[in-house]
Amino acid sequence: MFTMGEDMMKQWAQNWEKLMGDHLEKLVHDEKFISGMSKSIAATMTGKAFYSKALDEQMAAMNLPSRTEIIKILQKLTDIEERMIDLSERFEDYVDAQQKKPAAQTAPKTAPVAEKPIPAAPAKEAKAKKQKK
Amino acid sequence: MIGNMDTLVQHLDAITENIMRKTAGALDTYPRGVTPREVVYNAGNISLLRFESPEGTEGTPLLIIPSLINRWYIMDITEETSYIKEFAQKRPTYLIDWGYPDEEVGHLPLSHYYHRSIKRAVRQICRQTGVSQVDMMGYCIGGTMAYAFSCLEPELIDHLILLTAPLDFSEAGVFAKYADSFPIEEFSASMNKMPGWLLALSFQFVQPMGPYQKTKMFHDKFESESFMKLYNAMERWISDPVSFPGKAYYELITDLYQKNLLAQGQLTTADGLPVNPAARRAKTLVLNAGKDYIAPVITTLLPAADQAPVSEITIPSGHIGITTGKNGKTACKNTIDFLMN
Repeated sequence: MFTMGEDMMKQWAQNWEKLMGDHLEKLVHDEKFISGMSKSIAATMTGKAFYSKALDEQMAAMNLPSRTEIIKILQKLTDIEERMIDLSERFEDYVDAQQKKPAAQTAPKTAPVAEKPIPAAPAKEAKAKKQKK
Repeated sequence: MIGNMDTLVQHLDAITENIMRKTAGALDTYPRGVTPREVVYNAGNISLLRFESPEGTEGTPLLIIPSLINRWYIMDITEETSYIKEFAQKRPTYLIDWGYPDEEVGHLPLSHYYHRSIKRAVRQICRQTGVSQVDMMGYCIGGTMAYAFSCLEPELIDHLILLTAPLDFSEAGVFAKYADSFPIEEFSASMNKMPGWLLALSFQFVQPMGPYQKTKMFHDKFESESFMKLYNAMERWISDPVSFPGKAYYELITDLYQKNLLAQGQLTTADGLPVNPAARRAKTLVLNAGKDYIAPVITTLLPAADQAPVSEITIPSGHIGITTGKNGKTACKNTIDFLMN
């Protein structure tokens, strides 16, 4: 009797799962539903943009930097960091190219001066020396 | 009033992010990736990781490009399922960790990631190992980015593996439907990032019975130690969401999902460089998942203009299952065979 009840429950659960699964699957794939969802998201985002703007103006009226302005500064810093990375890469490439040049090409023909090795990465070397100390 | 309230979405974002991070904290006994590694290079949020290989491991280094939508360690989530552990046994293995991008990088274009950042990583690997080419594997959107990079810099890649990587977005399933009607201009005007919790929610949303089925599976299998290990590790990964930088998200939706520019060979970088599939030369393996609803098999096919040598294997699993499921090992073995031959 108990087993029969359990089986019935299992069967009921399976049926419910299939029914709900099919229904919800259809719903989330339905063009009208998707369009409605998008409109709702658009309204939320428009509201957010409005409130953010109002807040920015309020902060400006109090002579305080707003969140938008702070983010802009952070983005400027990111841009500076990006340029620094690009420049250091170009510098490394230049140093590599200099080191790869055969000694005969780099040394002046008549200058019997001992060649100084070109530092691979001056900042790193200085750091390494500091660590040794 | 408005000043005191701040905006509703910002509050919701902060609260949800906080709860999810706390949940992740509770699961902190599960590490983010199991294979020992070191950071060998940093650029902004982005790090280049090198995984520990047995001494004397040689060959062309492998660079893994994970998805920007979630954390990389899905490919290294437990010792039993780790792709990375397997790769690191055979080859010097590197991976780009995209970190946790926030609003400070919200203005960077998608090409910052698929061209500039990948090129920096490849450059570092070449400098450190003395090679002129790398092998590359991209997973999900990471695969899309790896593909775009192989079009831009064909001479830098020897082998390319595209693991469930959407390339042709003309029939990208349920996500294409949502992307088509997504209010992208309103998004762009109001947000500098697509919050991670909202992305995670959208993945759950298109699989409405997912949470119920997960609970049922948990009920059936929770006494198994191996199941619990993987389950907890997966939960830890799920509760570690990543935000998508605003401008890059805008370009992902408009240029890729809505206009399908990559497959048409019309995509250009922010610097105006054409992403031309016809320029590609890398030997390519397309590894897709038969039950994938995020990147259906049809989206993973290469553009017609692509003339590079290609093999294709379909694994009977889902988008995440291909990395952690029972068929993950087959996918991993196929990848290694492709790299070694």
